[in-house]
Amino acid sequence: MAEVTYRDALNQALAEEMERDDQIFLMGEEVALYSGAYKVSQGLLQKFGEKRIIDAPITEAGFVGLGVGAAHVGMKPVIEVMTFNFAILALDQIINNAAKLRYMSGGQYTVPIVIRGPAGAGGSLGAQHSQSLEQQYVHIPGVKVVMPGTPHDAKGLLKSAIRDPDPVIFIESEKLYNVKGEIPEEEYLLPIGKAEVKKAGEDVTIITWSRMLTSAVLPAVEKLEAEEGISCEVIDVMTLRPLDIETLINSVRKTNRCVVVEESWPQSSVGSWISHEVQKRAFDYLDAPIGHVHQEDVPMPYAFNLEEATLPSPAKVVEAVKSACYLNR
Amino acid sequence: MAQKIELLQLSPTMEEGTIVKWLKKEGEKVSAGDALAEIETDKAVMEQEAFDDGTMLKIVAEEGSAVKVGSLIAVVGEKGEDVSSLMNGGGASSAPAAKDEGAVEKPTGTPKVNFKPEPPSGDEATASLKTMEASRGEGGRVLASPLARKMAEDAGLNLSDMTGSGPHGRIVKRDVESAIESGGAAAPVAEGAPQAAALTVGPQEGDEEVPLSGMRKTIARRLVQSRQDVPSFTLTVEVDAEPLQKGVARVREAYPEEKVTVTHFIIKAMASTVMRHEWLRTQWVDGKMVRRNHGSISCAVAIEDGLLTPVIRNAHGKGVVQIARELRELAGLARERKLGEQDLTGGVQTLSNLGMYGIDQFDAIINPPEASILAVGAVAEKPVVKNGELVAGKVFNISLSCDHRVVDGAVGAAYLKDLKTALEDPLLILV
Repeated sequence: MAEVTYRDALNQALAEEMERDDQIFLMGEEVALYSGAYKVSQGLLQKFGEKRIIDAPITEAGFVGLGVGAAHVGMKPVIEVMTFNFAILALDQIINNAAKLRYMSGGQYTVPIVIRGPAGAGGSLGAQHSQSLEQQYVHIPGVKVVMPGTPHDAKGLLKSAIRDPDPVIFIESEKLYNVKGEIPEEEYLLPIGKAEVKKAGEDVTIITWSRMLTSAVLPAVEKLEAEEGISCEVIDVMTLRPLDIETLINSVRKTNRCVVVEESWPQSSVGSWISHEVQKRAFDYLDAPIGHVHQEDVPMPYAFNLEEATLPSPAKVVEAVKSACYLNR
Repeated sequence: MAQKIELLQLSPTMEEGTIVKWLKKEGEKVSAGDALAEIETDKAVMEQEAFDDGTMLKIVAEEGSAVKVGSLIAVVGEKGEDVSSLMNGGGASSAPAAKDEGAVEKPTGTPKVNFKPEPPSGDEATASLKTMEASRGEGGRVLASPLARKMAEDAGLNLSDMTGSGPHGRIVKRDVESAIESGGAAAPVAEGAPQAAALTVGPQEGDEEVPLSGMRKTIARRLVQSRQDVPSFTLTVEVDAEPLQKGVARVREAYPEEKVTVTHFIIKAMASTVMRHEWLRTQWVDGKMVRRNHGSISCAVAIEDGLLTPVIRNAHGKGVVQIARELRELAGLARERKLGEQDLTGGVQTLSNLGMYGIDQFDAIINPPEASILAVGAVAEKPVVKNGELVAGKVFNISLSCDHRVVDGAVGAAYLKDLKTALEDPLLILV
C-alpha cells in the first residue's frame, strides 16, 4: 500500500488509462500547460503530448460538445471542467446530447465520455463557485454519476468511468484534493453502481457520499460511539446513479433508523430521493422519520465562518442521529 | 429484491380474508396493477393487486385458507431469487409454509440496541403524556412508528396498552421491547380465554359447528356495536296503502318492463323527505356530528346466508324507474358477492322491508353511522274509519328507529309524519 493524495490518485488513474488506450484524451481549461487548475493533470502533457492533453478556451458548451462528438465517433474523451459550477454552461450538451444519443439512435451510438472536475465548497469561494449540483445529473436518465470520497475510491472509480461505454459525470471535491489515503500498489478498478459499507454498525444507518464522509460523518460517528454508545453503520453511496438501493435497504432493515448526509441543498436533492426510496422499501422497518443533514437552503455566504455554519458538520450529524434514536430531548 | 405480499385490508372493516383463487401461478410474471388473487372479504369477493413488477416466486397461503390482514400470502421478486429468508421472517399463521423452523427466531425479544434511552425529566414526561392522550383522543389514533406497529403485531400485543416515549407520545421500538419484556405474553392468553369458555357449552352430540363467514362476523360485530353504542327509540305509524298501491299500479301499467314495486316508491319517498329533515341526515361519527347533504338510501337485501345493504346514491334526485333499475342491479351484485366498498357505504338511512313475509310491524337495528332505519310491514286489509264511517281499508305499518344522540323524539316524529303524508299522496314525492 502506498499513501497518496486524492489528486495524485486521479492523476495515476488518468495516466494508467491513457497508457493502456490511445483513444483516450484529456481536454479542458488549463489542463495542459498549467497542469490543471487543481494540478490533477501534472506531468501528463510531458508524457502524452499536446495531441492528447489539450488546452481549451473558456467555452464549456464548446469543448464539452466537442467531447460528445469525439465519443460519438469512437474516441474516449475525458473532459475536465474547472468546476461543476461552470458545467452549467454545458448542460445542453450533457443532457440533450450525451445522455440521449444511445437512446435516440436505437443503440447505434454510445457516448463513452467522462466529464470530471470538482464541486462543492472550496473555502470562501462565494455563492457562485461553491455549489453541489449533482442533483442536476442524477435527475437525467442516460448518464451515470460518480462521487468518490477517498483517494482509493477516486482512482478505482475513475478508471472504471473511463472504460464505461456511457457518459459518466465524475464529481470530485475541491477540499479533497490534498487529502491522503492508502491505495494498492497494483492496478485495481472499482465497480460503478456499488455502494460500500465503510463501517458496520447496529443502531443507525448513515448514508452519505463524497467529502461529507470524512468531513462530517466519520468524526460524528466517533463521537456518537464514544459518548452516546450508538453503533453507527456508515454507507458511502459512491455512485449516485445508478443507485445501489439494495445495500442501503439491507442496512436500514437491520438498524431501523436512517440519516442521510449530503453537501447539497435540501429541496429535490439526491438525499431526498434516497429518503423516499428508503421509506418506500423499508417502511415497516423504520422506527423514526429519516433524518436529513444538508447545506442550509441559502446561497453560500462568502465569509469563512458563515460558510462553515451553512454546511453539514459533525455536530449536525450527531444531532440528527440522536434524534433518529429518540435521544435528544 | 424479493417482496413479501401480505393480505391487504380491502374494506375498512376487514380483519381477515379467504383466498378464493390465485390468479398468478408460481413462476408467472407479475406487473404492477395485475390482480394476484381473489379474496373473499367480510363483504365481497375482491381482487388484490400487485404493487411492483416481478415474478411470483412462492404462494404461501393456499386457496381456501382464511388469513389475517397483514399476513404473508405470497412472495414476488426476481426469477430465481432465494425466498427462504422472507419465509422465515414470520407472517401468515395460517399458512403452513410459513411454519418453518426459522419462524421462531424472529420475535424481537432480545433488543440489540446497546444504548439506554435517557428517562425524560419530570415536566417533559407529563407534557408528552398529555400530548399522547390528546393525540389518542381524536379518533383514537395511536401514534407509533411503522416498526413498532409491526413488532407489536408480530408479538400479538395491543399498541393502545403501551406508553410511547417518542415525540408526542409516539410508540417506538424500545417501548414495544419493554412491553414484550414485561410479560407481553399476556395478550395471546387473553385471546384464548373466550374460546376456552365457549368450549364448556360447546358442541354436544348431534350438534354441528357452522363455519363462520366473513360476512356473518361483520353482521355480528356491527349490530352488537349498534346496540351498545347507539341509544335508539322507535316510532310507529300506520299508513293507508291504497294510494301507494294505485300509484305503483299506474307506473307498472305505463312501464311494465321496469317492475316497479312499493319498495322503490318508499325509497323515493324516504329520500325526498329526508332532504327536508336535516337532522335525519346528520350522523354521529367519532364524537362529532356530520351532516350529509344528500338523500342516499341503503336498502337491506337478504342473500344466501346473510344480509347486505347496498346504497341507492342520491335517490332524492332519481325517479322510481331509475331506482328500480339500480336496486335490481345492486341486488344482483349482492347475490354474487360482487359489491364493492363504494356500493355499501355512504347512505343516510336504511330501508328494511319485511312486508312480503306478512310481518305486521317490527323494529330494525340502526346501521351506523346512519341515524335512522325504517322498518316496513305487510299491507293488511283492516276495518278503518274514514269520514266517520267504518270501511274496509288497506294499511301497513312503518317504524322508524332513531339514534337519540342526533335525532330527538319530536324531530323523528315530524319526519315520520311527512313520510306518511308522502306515502299516502305519492304525488307529493315529487315536491
